[in-house]
Amino acid sequence: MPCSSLLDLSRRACIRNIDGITDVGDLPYHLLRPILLKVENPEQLREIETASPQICGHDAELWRAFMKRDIPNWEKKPHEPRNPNSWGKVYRKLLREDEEEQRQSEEALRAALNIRKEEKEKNQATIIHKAIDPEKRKARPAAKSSSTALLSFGGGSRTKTNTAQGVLDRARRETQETRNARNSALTMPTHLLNVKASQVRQAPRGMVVGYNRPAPPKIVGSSISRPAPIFISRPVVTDRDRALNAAIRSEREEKERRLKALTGLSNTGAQKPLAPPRVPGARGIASLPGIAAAGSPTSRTASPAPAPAPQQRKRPGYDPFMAVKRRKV
Amino acid sequence: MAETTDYVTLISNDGFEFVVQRSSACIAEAIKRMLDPRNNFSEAQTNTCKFENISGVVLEKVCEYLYYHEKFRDQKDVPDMDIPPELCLELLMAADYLNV
Repeated sequence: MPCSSLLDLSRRACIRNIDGITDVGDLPYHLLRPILLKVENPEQLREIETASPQICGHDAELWRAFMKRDIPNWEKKPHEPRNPNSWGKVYRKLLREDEEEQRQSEEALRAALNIRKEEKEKNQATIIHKAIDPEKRKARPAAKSSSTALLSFGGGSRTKTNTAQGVLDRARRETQETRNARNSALTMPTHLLNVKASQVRQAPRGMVVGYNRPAPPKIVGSSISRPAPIFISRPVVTDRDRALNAAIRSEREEKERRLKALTGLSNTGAQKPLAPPRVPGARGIASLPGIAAAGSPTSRTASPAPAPAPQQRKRPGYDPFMAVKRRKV
Repeated sequence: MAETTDYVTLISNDGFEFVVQRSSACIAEAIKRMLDPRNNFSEAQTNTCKFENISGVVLEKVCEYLYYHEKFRDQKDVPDMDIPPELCLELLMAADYLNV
C-alpha cells in the first residue's frame, strides 16, 4: 500500500516536534530510536532519561554521539562509565573538564596579550582632556568645581581632542597662544610705558670699557675747543714754505703801507721803497699750496683763540641719568 | 453466535465509541485478530473492541488514519496526515500496540 503506516506517520510527526519532547512515557527504546537520534540538545536527552529511565541503558550510543560532537580528544579520556546507565554523567563530566581547560588556556592567552598591550601603552600618550596648569592653579585656588547648569556658555572647543591629531593640534595652538601672550606689547604695565624706554639700568658698555683704558697722551698746544677739521690733511712745513710765507707777509705789509699812504688814513711811518719780492718765481708756482699752507699754520701757530666765555645756563646740562620730561599730549 | 456485521465499534478507555467499517478496522493487525471469528474472542462475538490503554482523542485519530488509509489505498505520493504535536507520542504508542 502506498501510504505509510501510522507508526511511520507518528514517528515523523514526533521528529517534526522534537523540541517539545521531554517525556516518552513507557515506550520501548526500539520505537524511540529514530526520534531520539534527532535530539540535538544533550540537556533534553538528560530530561528524557530522567522522565523515562527505561531508555537509560540503551542510549549509550546517543551519548557517545554527543561526546564525539562536543568534546575534543574524547577518545583519549576515560569515557566508559562503570555503570552502563550513567552515560549521561560521563558526558557531563567530560564536558566540564573540557570547559575548564578552555578557560585556562584563554586566561593564559589573555595574560600573554596583556603584556604586549601594556608595553605598547607605556609608549603611547594618554589623552588628557583637561590639563591643569600648576601656575594658573596657584592663581585661582578656589574655582567653582560643581556647575550644574545644563547650558554652559563657552563650553565647547574648536579643537576636539578625541583623536591624536586633535591633541597635537591643540597643544601646538596653545603653545603659540601662550608665547604670543607673553611676548606681546600689551603685557607692559601702564606705569612703566614711558619710563622703560628712557630708563638706563646700566652704564653703556663703551663708557665702561673706556673707563678702564689708560688716558691717551696729552698733545701740547692742542685746543679741544677748536679741533682741527678732519678733512684737511696736516701738511709738513718746510724751510722753503717758511721762506715763502715770510715773503708773502712782507709783500702784504708793503701793500698795506702803500694803501694807507694813498688813502691817508693812518700814517705808519716812513715810506718804504717798493721792493720787489725776493722770490718772484716761487710766488707764481707755489701760490696755491702756499695759500693753503698758510691757512693751517696760521691757525695752528696762532695762540689758542680765547673761547667765548661760557654762557650762563638756565637749565641743568644734559645728564643721562636724568628722567625724560614727560610730554603732554 | 458470531455475526460478521459491516461495522465494528472501537471503544476507548474513557468511554468514547467509534463505529467504523470492518474492512477499514482490519487494516490494524490487532483489531483484525481481535475480531476474527475463528479465535473465539469475545470481541469477535460482540463486534466491539475495547482499548484500555488508548484515550478517546487518540482513538479518534486512529480511526481517521484508518479511513485515510482506505482512501489512499490505490494512490501514490499521498500527503501525510496531519498529527498535532501533543498526540504524536501517544499515537506512536497506539500505533505500536495496534500494529498499524
